[in-house]
Amino acid sequence: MTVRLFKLLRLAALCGVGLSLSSVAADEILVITRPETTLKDMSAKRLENIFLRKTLLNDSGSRWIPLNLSPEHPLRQAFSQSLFKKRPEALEAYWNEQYFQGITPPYVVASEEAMLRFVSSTPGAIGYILPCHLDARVQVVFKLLASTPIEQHCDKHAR
Amino acid sequence: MFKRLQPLAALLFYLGPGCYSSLADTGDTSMPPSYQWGRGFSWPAANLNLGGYFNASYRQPESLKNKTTLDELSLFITWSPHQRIRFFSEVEVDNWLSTEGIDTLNNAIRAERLYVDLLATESTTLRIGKFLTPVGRWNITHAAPLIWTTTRPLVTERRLFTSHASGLMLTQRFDVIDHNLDVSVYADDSTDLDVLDNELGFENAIGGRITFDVSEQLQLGASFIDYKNKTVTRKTRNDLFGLDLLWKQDGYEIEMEAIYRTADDYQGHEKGLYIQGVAPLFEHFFVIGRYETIIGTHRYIPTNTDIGVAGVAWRPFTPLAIKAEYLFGDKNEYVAPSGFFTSISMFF
Repeated sequence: MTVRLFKLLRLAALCGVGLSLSSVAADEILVITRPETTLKDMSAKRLENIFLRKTLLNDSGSRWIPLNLSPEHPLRQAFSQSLFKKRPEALEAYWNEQYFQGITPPYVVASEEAMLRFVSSTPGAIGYILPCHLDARVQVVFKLLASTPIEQHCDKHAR
Repeated sequence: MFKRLQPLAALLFYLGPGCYSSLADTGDTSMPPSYQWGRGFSWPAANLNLGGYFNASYRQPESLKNKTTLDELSLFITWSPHQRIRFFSEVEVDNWLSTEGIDTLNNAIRAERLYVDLLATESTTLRIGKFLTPVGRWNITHAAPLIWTTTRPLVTERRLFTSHASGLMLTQRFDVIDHNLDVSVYADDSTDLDVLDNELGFENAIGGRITFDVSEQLQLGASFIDYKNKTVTRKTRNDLFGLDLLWKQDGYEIEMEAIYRTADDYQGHEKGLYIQGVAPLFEHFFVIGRYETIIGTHRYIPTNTDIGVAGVAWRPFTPLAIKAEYLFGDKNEYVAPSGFFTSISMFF
């Protein structure tokens, strides 16, 4: 229901205010893997389980290696809000519990370029970028709608 | 003891060659080893993580001697030698140092957990080894930096059910309309399999646990275990049924566990519950209230007691917890004496 309302509002904004297509695309967060990674399907719930490290294996039985940006990075904030409905700091208690079970949080990379490099060179790696940073090295496996505008970070945190 | 570890060592040896090929496959060598406070030392290229925690407490029960203790000093090792294999061990020094003396390391050291997870599919895991008995929530998340009080609710005590099981556990995750439903079944044969065990454990047991994530905030659980203890005086078979819930939102938390244990007339039945609430006071400070009741034959003592716990916890940093509480009750002298309890604990 909320998603539909959001889509309607976005459509209204497109028609009425005349936003460009590129600015709307920037409000999406692209979840990426290596092009060779085969996936039967991907859903928000499955993605949540991968990034919470509840699901450790992918379809082909290989290890998932989820990646994060640093907690203060605007894209990480947007990703966390969009997928978990929580700020990254709010998940610390969860990661404390997981640490006791021997599960550590996803590795952190320094930038979207580092994310692209690691994902494109590592089977099983899965990360996220802004649409403006997408290139042929990776494939998009899922799109998340950012709950806040993040297009302005296209240049600032580019590479 | 080493004889008992041989099957595990053989399994790891057999799987050994796979580990290096999988490393070569992943090319996951660009992440340097690193240490993060509260998350341990991580060596991504070897899929190895070392960490642990400690807990020290001061206990001032009204009817007993005051005591300061290094309750736990635990070391975790997680190693994933193959993408489908995850080895985990927790070796703990338990009540080693206290104002009442120093225990020998031989007595104090124990293998809290020692298991291998075989990841059959993305949602199916077979666990082999020694693991925490999955009854309720407290027992499986009992590490001092995770819990809110120094004292432990009676219905989660190891004298009610043994905190560890040694054997096999199969866990399957189901997706129920985008909600996780985890089902675990396990079989224990501690008599033959337990290693470095200092406590009075199961002779054998079978059990199961279901947890369901109702929403982002609410998780429900149900547990069952049929068991027989090693001790001569508690040789009869027991059945234990448990229900639990956890609700969390914006720093507020409600946790509840209820159990019913049944055995023959000699050993007696018991039932009880605790319900605990947590509320944030101001930044990093929390207030905790807990009510407990237990009725029946607890530790062979006919018991009908109500207990209250009022406390505060300060968590200035994620890995660190400092707690203080006052426990009081009615007819609780033998099972949980009233008094003041405080502790400091930290993941490292």
